[in-house]
Amino acid sequence: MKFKKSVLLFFVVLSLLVVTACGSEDNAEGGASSDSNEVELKVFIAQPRFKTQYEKYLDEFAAYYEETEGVKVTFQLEMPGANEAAQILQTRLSSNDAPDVFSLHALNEIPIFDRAGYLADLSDLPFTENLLDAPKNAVTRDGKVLAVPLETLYWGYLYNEDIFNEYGIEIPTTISEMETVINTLNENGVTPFIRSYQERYIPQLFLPLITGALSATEYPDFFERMNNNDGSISELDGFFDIIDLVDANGTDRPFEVDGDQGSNMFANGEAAMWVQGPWMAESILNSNQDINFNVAPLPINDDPDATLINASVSTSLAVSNESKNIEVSKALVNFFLEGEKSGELFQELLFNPVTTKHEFEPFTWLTEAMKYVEEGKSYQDPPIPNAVKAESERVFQTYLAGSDSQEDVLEALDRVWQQAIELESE
Amino acid sequence: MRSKAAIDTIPVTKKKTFVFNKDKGKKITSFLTFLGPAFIFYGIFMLIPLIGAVYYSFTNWNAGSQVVRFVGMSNYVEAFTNDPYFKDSMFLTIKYTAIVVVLQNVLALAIALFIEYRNRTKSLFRTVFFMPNMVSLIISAFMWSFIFSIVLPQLAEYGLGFLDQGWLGNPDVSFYSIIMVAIWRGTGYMMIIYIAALQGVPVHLKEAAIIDGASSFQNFVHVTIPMIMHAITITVFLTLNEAFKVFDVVYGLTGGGPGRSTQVVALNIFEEAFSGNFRYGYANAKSMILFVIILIITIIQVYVMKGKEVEA
Repeated sequence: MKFKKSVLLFFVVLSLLVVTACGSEDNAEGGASSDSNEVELKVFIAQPRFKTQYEKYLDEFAAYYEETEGVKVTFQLEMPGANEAAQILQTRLSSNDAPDVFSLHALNEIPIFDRAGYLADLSDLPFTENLLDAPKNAVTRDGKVLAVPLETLYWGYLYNEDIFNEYGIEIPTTISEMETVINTLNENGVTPFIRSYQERYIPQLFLPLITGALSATEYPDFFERMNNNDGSISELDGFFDIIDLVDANGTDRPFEVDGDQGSNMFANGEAAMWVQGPWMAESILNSNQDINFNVAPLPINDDPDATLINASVSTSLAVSNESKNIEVSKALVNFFLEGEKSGELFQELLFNPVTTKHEFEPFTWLTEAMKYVEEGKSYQDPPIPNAVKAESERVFQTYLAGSDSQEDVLEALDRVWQQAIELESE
Repeated sequence: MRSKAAIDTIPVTKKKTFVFNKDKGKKITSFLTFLGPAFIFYGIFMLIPLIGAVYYSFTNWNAGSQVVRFVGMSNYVEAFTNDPYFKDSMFLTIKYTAIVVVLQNVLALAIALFIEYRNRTKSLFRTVFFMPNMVSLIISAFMWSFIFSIVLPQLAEYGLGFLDQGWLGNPDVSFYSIIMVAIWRGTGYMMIIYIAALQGVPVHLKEAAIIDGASSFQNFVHVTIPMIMHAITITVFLTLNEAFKVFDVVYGLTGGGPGRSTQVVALNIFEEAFSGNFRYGYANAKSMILFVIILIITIIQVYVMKGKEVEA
């Protein structure tokens, strides 16, 4: 009798534990959707450096929504760092635990997520009417608007205006002119480029710059052929020219310098140029408020028509198709562009205007870059498969470290491109 | 036809069975109470995911797929024939394991011997050498990352020129940086096991050997080592297991870089699953392969070393 009693007691306790564990999970889910006057949105934005600004804006939305719809909105804001964000988001989406609203890279990630069916269609929201053309194109796929663009980028490389003015340097339009600029700088004891290869995404920046410029000029159907498995990246003549040129004329110990340190070095005038984009503006200005820097198109060969600005849309907000609060989520992302303080938010984040409602004065680097865009000297960030970008991060690092040859790099990129295309068609 | 006497004996037999049940019952109860919770956690967090992993390793589950298709052995075939990075990472991991297992055990035994034959400063040294193990692995990786990239180059300016290496940036040197940190951290734990084992070596055996004219080296090799063989089996097993699966140290220090020069197998699988094409099914297959390899190697190792164990 005692034997049966104790075993019975044990199993009762055990099952109680299991039931409470499962039960509490259900309660959490039930709580969110049962009460229609209170909604909790899970928001995932991979920009922890802007935490305060986003939190403030979410509070604005909560106040606005309560006034107009009478529903109280609370937020669960998740802000992982850029390095881990893709992994975390991907895991959540694959395991049916998607955030209601999440940030993604418009050009890189919309194709993947759309194919997997994660993105809600936002075409009927008011913000789509006021979007400027370039951002609108970037977030549209198959005629549907799938994300709200936040961060638009016009970039090539950054240069220090003061140094350029001091030595009377003109912005180079071909790679030979760039060599002259480098010589002038070397003669005057100024290091031409910042080399910062510790963070993998920085060497990778060469990939879109070179393929984008070449496909906009000499190889117009390059991407079409690559995406049909009909081409090879080795067809691109002179792919490594600018990479080698920058690498040969840069600061020391490149593999010990990451993005933040590079910003610091650039801001303190340790070199005249940096192959990076204006998304580093905030870091650079934090290191040295008085620096005058600007954006210029990167020359990749001797064709002045191939020296173009890369126009891209990166951070954008999307709504999950499986969100239980899809109406509120859609209202939130719409509010990011249509809300009263949207212009203020964009200014604080140092983002460029994306709608006709944004009437604030653009930043110096944007005005300069827009000059090139208006002259037609730009191309949209090319549609390179995400896997190829990830691979190029690593093989460029190995190439710049001296362990891989040029053929190895091109072969690796080709192979991964093929694989990515095959997986897409499965 | 049972007699009244026979019927009277029945309650006695019943009582006996009752006592027998009580004992066994107690045993089973305590068994379940103590092991139950641990087994539940093990089941939920290890066994069930393991079974799930085996299932998914036969599919083509990836981030972009709407439908998960069963693909049989093609993931395993691909891992062996069409994945140069996996092969490279496997060789790198084997090289790393060989070095770390030998160094960690030799150092741990040396430190244990050193500590055991001290008199007054025994506890102090024991604590000092065990402290690295008490720091969380990823925290120590970040700490060492700071030391390698900022502290050592600064120190090099004060005349210690050999410290001026690309500790984490130079593909040749970063491998050894990782080994340094792994040994710094893991040796303490093995040292404790060796200290315990050394304390169990019967003194009379050593004294007998000395009387018979053995030198201290011969004493060590022919008396002490066989007596602590059981501890050596355990420590070699633990270090082998840990070294093959190493992830935190490499991730914290170099992230597998520059490029893929320090990418061990666990990092290669992590990259396969969580970047690029997010191929969860294929990554599961590679994990299974790693699991089988570790299983085979450790079974062989324990079998061989158990044969060398000696009872006092």
